[in-house]
Amino acid sequence: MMAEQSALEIELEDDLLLILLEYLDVRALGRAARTCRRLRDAVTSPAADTKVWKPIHRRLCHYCDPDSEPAAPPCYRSLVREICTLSLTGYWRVKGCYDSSGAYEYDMRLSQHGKWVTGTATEPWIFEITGKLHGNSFVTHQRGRDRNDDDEWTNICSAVVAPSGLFMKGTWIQERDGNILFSNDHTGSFECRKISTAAAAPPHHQPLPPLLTATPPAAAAADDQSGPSGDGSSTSSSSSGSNSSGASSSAAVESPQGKRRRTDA
Amino acid sequence: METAPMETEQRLVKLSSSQGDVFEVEFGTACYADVVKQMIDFTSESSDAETIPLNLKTTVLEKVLQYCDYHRDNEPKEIPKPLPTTNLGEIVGDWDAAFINVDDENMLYELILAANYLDIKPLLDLACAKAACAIKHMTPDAIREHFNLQPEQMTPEEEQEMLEELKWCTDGGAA
Repeated sequence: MMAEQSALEIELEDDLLLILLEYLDVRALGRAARTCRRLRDAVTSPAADTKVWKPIHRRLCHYCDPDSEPAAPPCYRSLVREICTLSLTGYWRVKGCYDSSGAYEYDMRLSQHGKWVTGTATEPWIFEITGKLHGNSFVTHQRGRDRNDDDEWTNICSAVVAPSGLFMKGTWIQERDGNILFSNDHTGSFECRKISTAAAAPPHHQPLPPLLTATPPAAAAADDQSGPSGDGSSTSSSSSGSNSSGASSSAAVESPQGKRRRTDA
Repeated sequence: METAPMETEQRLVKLSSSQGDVFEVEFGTACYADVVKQMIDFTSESSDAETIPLNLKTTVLEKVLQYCDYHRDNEPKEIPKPLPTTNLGEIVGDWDAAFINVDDENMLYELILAANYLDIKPLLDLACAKAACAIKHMTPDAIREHFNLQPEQMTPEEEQEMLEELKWCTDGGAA
């Protein structure tokens, strides 16, 4: 034991080091693990999986159905990884219904920056969306307005995102003039499916590209409805570019992809 | 706390450090550490005046006894994992935060070892949480410097492999 070495290195045995690590969050663990082999091994050890990663997983991961929580998953660290790498960026089809009755459907575009999320929707309502993703819980605030009149309101939505990152499900409640409206006409539930992972341009000041539809390629081309591009991999600079260029050839190529993704989802 | 009869309550116990310094403390304080209580139980039959030797430096033993004396009547607070904030005062209260705010980094790690040795779980948690606070916001380089770690403990290949493996931890994300 050399005197010039750190207290941590020479003094703490593995089980004590682990207690220290239990107090760190995901990012701090990542940084610690990058310092030296000792800490890397500690962070990735089987003991850390249950003592360190399992509580983090429990805190971050929310299940729609508690029974679906894996009893003994192979590795909590990989589950945490799954949640920490969730990205909501892309285009989502929202299907919902009011608690009173009546279904609605619209597409929205979300853009995630760290845990913060912004987005827009334009049909049939105009929404400006801001929200936060914590683990796989998504809470969002949609400032909405009718296209036809000046009626304005806010939807407060809360959803749980599936580990795949392709589906979320939740409820909403409406607020007008600072008051929550306690009525089945102003609350409801919804499901969203990701229809494209195309990275969205900054949501404000950008028109939303035409929606992906199930129309045949020929019809889509005729209507100049090129869907947003991007196939699995994120960051595509053509996400909004394809809209302005409006090349019919790209529409003809991309629409079938859009259809496939829809059926996949 | 201990619901000991009056006579044991006022009884004094002698504890000595590894440097030979003897502390005379109340029975209740000494017994906050289960290990010490067991030692007392074990030795009390022979003689009341016997001194219990502990393998701790004087400064560390003094600090530990401060903790025991305070917490024998004040239940320590549970510390959430992971830490929601590095402001320990918000979590454990002013006394504990001030207590564990030691100038000397080595003292902190001595306290971790002492708490482990004497099996004082809340002190162990407090000291580990304090150590975690110190490194929570540090970059890998700062942690290396703080603990005087040698980066060459890993080969460049290993370091690269680890960067890949742990990239997701350090990127922005939903956590």
